[in-house]
Amino acid sequence: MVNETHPFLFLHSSTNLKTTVKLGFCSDFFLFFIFCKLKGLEELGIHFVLLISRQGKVRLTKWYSPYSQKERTKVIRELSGVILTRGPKLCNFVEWRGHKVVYKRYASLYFCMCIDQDDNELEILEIIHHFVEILDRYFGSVCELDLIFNFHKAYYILDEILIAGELQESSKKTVARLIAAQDSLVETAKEQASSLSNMIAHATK
Amino acid sequence: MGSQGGWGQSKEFLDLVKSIGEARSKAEEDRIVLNEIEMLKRRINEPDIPKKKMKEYIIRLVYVEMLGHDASFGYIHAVKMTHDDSLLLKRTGYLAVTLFLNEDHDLIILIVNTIQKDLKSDNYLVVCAALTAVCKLINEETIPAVLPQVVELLGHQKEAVRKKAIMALHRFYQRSPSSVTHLISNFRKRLCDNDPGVMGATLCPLFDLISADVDSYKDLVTSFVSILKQVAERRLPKSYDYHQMPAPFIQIRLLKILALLGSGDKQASEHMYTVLGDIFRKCDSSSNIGNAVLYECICCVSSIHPSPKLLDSAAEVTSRFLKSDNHNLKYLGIDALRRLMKVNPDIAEEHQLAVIDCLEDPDDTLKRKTFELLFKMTKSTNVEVIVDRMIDYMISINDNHYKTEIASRCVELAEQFAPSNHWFIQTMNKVFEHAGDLVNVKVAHNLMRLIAEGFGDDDEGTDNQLRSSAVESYLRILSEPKLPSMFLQVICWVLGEYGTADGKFSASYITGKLCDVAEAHPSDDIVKAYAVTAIMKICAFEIAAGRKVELLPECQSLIDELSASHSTDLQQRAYELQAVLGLDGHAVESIMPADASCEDIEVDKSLSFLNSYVQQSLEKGAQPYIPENERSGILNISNFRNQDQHESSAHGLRFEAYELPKPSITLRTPAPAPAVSSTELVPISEPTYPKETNQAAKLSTVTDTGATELKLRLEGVQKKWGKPTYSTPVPSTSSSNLKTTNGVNQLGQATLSSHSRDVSYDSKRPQAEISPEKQKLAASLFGGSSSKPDKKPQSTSHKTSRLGNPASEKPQVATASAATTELAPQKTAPVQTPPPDLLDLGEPTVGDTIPSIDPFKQLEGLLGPPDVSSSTNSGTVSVTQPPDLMALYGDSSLSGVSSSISNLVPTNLDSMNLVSSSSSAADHGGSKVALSASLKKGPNPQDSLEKDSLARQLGVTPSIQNPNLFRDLLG
Repeated sequence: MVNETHPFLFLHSSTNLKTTVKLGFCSDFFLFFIFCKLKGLEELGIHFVLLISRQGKVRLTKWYSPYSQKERTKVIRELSGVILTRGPKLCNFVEWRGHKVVYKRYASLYFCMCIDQDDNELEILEIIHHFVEILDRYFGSVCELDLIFNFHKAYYILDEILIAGELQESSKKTVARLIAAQDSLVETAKEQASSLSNMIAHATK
Repeated sequence: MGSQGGWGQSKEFLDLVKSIGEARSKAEEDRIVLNEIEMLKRRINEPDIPKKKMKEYIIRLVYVEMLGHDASFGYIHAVKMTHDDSLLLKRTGYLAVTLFLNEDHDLIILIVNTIQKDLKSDNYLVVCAALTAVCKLINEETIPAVLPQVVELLGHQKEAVRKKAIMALHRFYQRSPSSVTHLISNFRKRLCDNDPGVMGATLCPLFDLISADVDSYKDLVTSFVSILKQVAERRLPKSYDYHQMPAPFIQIRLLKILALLGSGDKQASEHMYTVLGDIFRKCDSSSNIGNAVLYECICCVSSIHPSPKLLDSAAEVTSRFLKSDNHNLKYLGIDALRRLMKVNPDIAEEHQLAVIDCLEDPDDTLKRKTFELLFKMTKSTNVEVIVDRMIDYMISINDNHYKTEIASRCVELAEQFAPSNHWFIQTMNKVFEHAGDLVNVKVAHNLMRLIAEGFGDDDEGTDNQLRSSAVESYLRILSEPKLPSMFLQVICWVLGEYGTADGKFSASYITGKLCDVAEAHPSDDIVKAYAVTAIMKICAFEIAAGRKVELLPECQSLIDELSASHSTDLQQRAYELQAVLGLDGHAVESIMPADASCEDIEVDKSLSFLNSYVQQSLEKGAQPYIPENERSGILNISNFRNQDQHESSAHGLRFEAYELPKPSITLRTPAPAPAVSSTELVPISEPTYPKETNQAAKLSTVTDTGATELKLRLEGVQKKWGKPTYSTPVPSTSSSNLKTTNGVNQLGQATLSSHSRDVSYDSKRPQAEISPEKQKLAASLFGGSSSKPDKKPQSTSHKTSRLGNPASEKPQVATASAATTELAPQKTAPVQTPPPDLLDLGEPTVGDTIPSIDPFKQLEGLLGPPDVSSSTNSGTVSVTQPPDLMALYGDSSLSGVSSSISNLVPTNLDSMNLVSSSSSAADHGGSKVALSASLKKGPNPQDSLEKDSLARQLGVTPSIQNPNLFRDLLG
């Protein structure tokens, strides 16, 4: 008897509604899960720093949150699509996948930093400028070409300004002094190195 | 340039960079990089590579990886390099590993030992390098290995080391808060460090700690306030000034912390009032950084216990932001407004026009921020305008992430503030139509439930009206192509339940439509299932009403097709439909009562309605049911399979059919008696579907009693799925609100639905130029939020106009939208810049034909504010005069120039490719750029000349591709 009535329970018009409501709860749970995963990321101030040229060429990348190589490529592609096409007078901020990307154009180079929704965008914009000013002081009227050939130096400088996604030093002088100390310590080694590498370069020409 | 500026790399590397710089496509670039990888793979594994060479290889690996390729083959060499004694090499090694390895990489374990050693080094630079690596590489497991040393370094004599040690501990805290909980006193101590850099760094971990647990840090409020005071009074060394602001980054951090500490704490907040007031007064609002500090101040003021005076200052700054031409400031203004509104809801009102300007701004970022604000200030009085705007915007964008977000916001607002059910359904239709597959499934169920339940009032008439209007709108929408699956499900369900309810549409018309839906989505099983169930309902209602059901041929073929479907669910539904068709009217009415979707089915777990049947069977000699827990020793009471029945009793409801029992067995054993556990020997009996139809037909009388039994139970049962979960109080109250405020009577609106909808659609177009329209919009947005609406003349006038007749707006609106369409192209034209590729190819040709004129670059210079002054300064040099003139007239002649360039490009493209390799052209390009670059550069022309000549010596002439390479980043 039961066996025969139950199939018709299924036919009752409201049953469909309920089963699917249950599905709704499932997806809610799923969302919650994703949220937790994202939450892990949100401890950081700055998630990553990108330098992209106007042609979309990557000049420097620094990832403070974990991103796989595949994700990185995707991020760069997506962001350069968004940022390079933006007009000159618009905001320097872009909302992107629940985060915000602050960017600023210097000559032909875009400096981008990704932050969370609640951070102070204007501050990040000034951190970018702070970085550029330090680069400028170090290279002496820095231009894109300096960064192309000396990207590792740009990394060293960035490491002195930002650490684990936070601004660690806001004094230009202090940063400059540290970098200079590192450079002077290796100066002697470098002189030998450059003569050596010149020789190698000549040999391999 | 000096000693640092030289490019101390080998020719090979420079060539690599150069060739990548000149690559014309991503494919070409990839090819070059892959070659490089192959070469590096070979070389790097050769024995006895000189260290300098190895260092270069590592840097090349970094470069390759930066370009998005995999350099994992070389990671181990980078790890090895960290072991080297020379700082130069070690630094390179650390740099490479921090860039290569994520915190969970296997190789990290090989570095920990080196890091431990380096943390003990006498050379503070080595320690610094190690600490930088610690921040990136040390994961939860390896924290204990370095923690003691890092803590020790907090007392290092060099401030740089102390600072990095703090940051490392901060990182440890983020990775695993428990690892550093015993060290919190150290953070407090470092707050008093002599070096402002260390103190500033300490604020990072403190911020995290305080946001996790505010109460244990209340004692620090006075310290933070006094630090902030000192900072604001320029007590810190001059080197921390940034653009004439005293240590702004530290100020911002302190403000963030104070916001946390003062939130909901009057006493703590009162300590802060003076210093916050000082900052508001002193802050330089002409620089970006000053505004950043001001913005942070507003955030702080809106978070702490409110002080009227500070709120006034905050409001003043906010209005300055909103009035600014700078989009960044407008953006911050909108955000500040959102924050201040939490404290004082009236504040938005005086900025209504600015908000609407932002809403209509072409800048997407600003628009989205404004929607966020509107979302927060939605009330039942302005919900229609806001949601309509949101939907319009939602339709216009492609970004799925944001589309989902804004769709769910629309749904949330609509559910919360819907002025009428009709409006709710219309809104939902729009959301579903355009973002159906992105919204949460729950939304669909809410919509179905709302249609089924109606207002929940006694007024059955309104509900029916609502339903028939929903049916009508769905039938109309069905003709549109490409509806999202979720929406189709809703449509099918509603058509099944109410398609024929008001008698307007015939059953065959509705079933025909449903068949079309199923046919149009052959791959979507869920939609098909909804469709076939809906058909079944329609048929059942027809049968119950005593009408004869003639299945349409396409419907019959659909059933045949589904009976043979691979999906058992679809199969079952098809068979059930056939079964229902064979039943008589009385039985069908009991199993498929019309409009009973809201009624709850009570599951009688004890199956008491079977008692008489069981009794009968027992009398006939059947064995009694023994509950499972008492059953251990007894086997084989029944041949029935039981597993499923256990399950069903556990779940309460079973949604799939039981297989049919063999009639003979049914007679012998009590049906509800599931027996024996899994040791049963008898194979599971297979149901045969043809049989089921027979059975079903025969069963009509039996089910009849069962179903009525069930139905009896429905009364007085608390609705589990009913109203309470759905927002209850809103509909009735807000609808009355609507009546009073908008003055449109409810009935009229319902009948004129489509008409008034069109009107409000039109009025949504951007009308930046026409202020009355904007004012109207403002009134509709903000009027409701105002506590004293009569104060604003425009808002009342708007109301009267609405009172009269919604259609009267129409002509006005039409002209407005015409005006905007006319103006729009003019407005956008000057902003447009030609696509970068075109530009970059075009430039050298221009340079060749018209020597020393590079209008584009000058134009670019114009766009970037820092360049303007320098290019005008260099006006004394004769060579730059033409470009300057061009620049001056650039604005007006831009379109002309761009078109001429694009004309030039196709013809010169080939020749350019040929020429680019020849040295003369390269030199020409180089010198040209050098000239312009040096001229542009007020302060340091020597540098760029030197750089350029160096570049040319090295044979690097990226200027062909991108002359901007030589431009100062800071103009």
